[in-house]
Amino acid sequence: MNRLVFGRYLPLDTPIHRLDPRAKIIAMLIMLVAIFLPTGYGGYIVLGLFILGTLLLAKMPFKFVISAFKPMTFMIIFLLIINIFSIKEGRLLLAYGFLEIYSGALLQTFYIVVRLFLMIMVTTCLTATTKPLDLTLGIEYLLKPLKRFKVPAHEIAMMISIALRFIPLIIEETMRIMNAQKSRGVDYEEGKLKDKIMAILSLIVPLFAVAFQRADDLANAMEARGYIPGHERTRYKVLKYHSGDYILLTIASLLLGSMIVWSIVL
Amino acid sequence: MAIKFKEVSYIYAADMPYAFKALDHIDLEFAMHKKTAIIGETGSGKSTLVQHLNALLIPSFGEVEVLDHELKAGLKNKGLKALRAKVGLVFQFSEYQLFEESIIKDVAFGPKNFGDDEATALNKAQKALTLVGLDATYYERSPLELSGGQKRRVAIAGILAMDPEVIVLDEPTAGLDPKGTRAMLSLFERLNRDFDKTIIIVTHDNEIVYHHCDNVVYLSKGKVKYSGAAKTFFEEGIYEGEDLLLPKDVQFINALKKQGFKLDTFDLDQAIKETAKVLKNE
Amino acid sequence: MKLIEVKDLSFSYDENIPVLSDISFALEEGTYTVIVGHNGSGKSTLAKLLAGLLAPNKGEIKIGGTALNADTIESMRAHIGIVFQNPDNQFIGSTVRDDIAFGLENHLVPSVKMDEIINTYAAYVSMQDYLDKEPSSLSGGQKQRVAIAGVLAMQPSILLLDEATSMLDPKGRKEVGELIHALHQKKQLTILSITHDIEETRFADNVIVLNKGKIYRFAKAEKLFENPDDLKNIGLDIPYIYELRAKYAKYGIHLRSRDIEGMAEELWQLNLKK
Repeated sequence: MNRLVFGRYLPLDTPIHRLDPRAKIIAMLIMLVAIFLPTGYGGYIVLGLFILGTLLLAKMPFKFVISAFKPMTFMIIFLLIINIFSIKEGRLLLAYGFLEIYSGALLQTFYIVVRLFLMIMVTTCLTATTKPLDLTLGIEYLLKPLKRFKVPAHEIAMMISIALRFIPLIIEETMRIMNAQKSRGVDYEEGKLKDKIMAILSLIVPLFAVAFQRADDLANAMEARGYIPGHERTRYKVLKYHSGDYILLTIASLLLGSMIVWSIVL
Repeated sequence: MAIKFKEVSYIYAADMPYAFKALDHIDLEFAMHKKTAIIGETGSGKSTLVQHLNALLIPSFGEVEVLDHELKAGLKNKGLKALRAKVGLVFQFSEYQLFEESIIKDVAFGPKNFGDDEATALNKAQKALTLVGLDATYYERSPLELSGGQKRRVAIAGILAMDPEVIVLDEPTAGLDPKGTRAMLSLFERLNRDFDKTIIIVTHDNEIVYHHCDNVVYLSKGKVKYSGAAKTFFEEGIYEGEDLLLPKDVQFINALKKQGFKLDTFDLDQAIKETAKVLKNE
Repeated sequence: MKLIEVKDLSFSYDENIPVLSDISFALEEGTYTVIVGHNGSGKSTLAKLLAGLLAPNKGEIKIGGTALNADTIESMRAHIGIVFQNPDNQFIGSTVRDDIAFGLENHLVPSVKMDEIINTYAAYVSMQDYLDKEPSSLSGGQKQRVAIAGVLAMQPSILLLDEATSMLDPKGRKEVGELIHALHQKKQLTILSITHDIEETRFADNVIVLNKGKIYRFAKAEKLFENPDDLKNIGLDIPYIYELRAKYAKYGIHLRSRDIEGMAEELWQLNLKK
């Protein structure tokens, strides 16, 4: 019952999965910038090919990638409707009463949607091939230079990793508390507003109470094992760059560079 | 009015690759107005079984009859909420379910959900709190102030306030010290003897099963391996060598018999009296 | 050598309600002591004080001759290992490996040495096949064993167990109990176990009985149960085997066995000899 595919991470073993999380994060950021440069469809095709290639190397199932777009469908339809009403350029394609659909509206929407798709695919590349914890470790390493600005990178990373570790347990506890309250007559689906509020309270208050107790116990356990926030610690997991990471970063940088040139030339 | 399981199976996450059959063709009847224990290893299906009793779960296959309700897979089971007032289910570590600002309000929460007005609910809450041994000085206090054992009693009061005919408790003595355990057991005795309640307890403590329960249901890997008198189950050693810790009295008397003493009682004091007699040549 | 010395220890969260009053005792190195008492007798608070997680209002704690206080606690942390009651609320790492590593990281163990230490201590508690498992797939007993491994990896001289088995099922309790027993046999650790399971006292060298924040009794297990009413008066049970002894004593039969099988045998031997 604890086999949740969390955060869209797919546990496979591919060259992309094995890359250093830092390299993947940086590459993703580079690609996001590249996507937003005004290079037109030509540029998008090149970027799209690279991204698709990465997804293929990562053995991402087609269905899985498509499912990443699902949350966006509503937004895209909404965007289309707004554009239809506000953009009156290009050829008139369809006229029905006061509704006039111009090609300009469709093209503009398409343009935005393509970039959206590319963005989603790039972020999927990252989250599907990197364990949440490795992601956290990568972020911690990248934030380290900010230590001079008093950003507690390691403590943030520690908090994130502890939070992640407890998610399955919190889900279990939520179910348990809901069951306990249902046994007292709470209906989590129907009822007047007042009842619904009580229903939510009867869930949230115990969850928080358990969370506070847990925080207290954890703090004691961590302290007893010698943890002092801010103090130096060694690390069990050490990130090391390998050749694959350099290749990825080089390709990503080259792509960005060519997109910049392309957008200027256009 | 009965509690019957007829060919009941329950499968978690049936459409997923990790589907798990928690209950496998269960045929079972719980005796009304008695105290029944449900025992079995962690993962044997005890919690799943017990959640059918107040319709938190509906069988995947088969039928469960609880009092005047019938639970069947696929049917649009209506009126389930009403069942929950008649079968009170107290979860493990129930002290975690408290949430109201005052104890009396928390205990009154259940009755209110079933339609009682404020006055009636408070009245029932007071009676329930008295049953669990918490007097009026506790009414206005915050549940968070209490010790774990006291909180648990408040949680149980919250279920008793609904005056269910059947009370089901999942590991009610887990984590309690001996004094707390004794108080809990005498509460069940009272509920059963004085109020005729049917008590069903899920427990790992075979001492409780042997000394305080009439019947026992032994679950293993989702199947019922035994359902019947508790004393018989342990005294006749029905499941030797199955990692079942026998009650200490039974262990001792078995050991005496093995050595050669002739005993035909499982009453400890009687057995001691008889062996002492033998030693003194009386 | 008295490894643990406690003198006039007092503690209260709130001035009006003392949790512990004038606690004094001393324990030899390598001994196994069980601390029993009701919930609310101050047992857990004593554990936290001994682990340096709380500071006493009065009195002092000395470990190996050094006083435990705000200045010394940091350097003494590694010597005092504590395992708590809730198996989940002390499991910090995302896997067994990561959790055992946590303490090592805090004590600045070099990364390259960590794998060997982790493997050693995981094997010690028989969890070597579970190194990459997440806590959500482990039983309570397994999580507690990992907690013990994590603590042992720092090579403490004292192991404190604060009701470490009270949230476990019988299987888990047996696993952890056997592990503690094995640790005791090796005699390299001074073990203090806080529990309300009186049966645990049978294996201990010393028993401390706390009642209402004070030490009610401090004795060897055998001596403690000679007078069963002593404990029953404060609402505590005595181990089963001592109940049996007391019952037979009423018939003038005095037995010495420490377990059920042994006692049955002893009785039969008496029967044969008569």
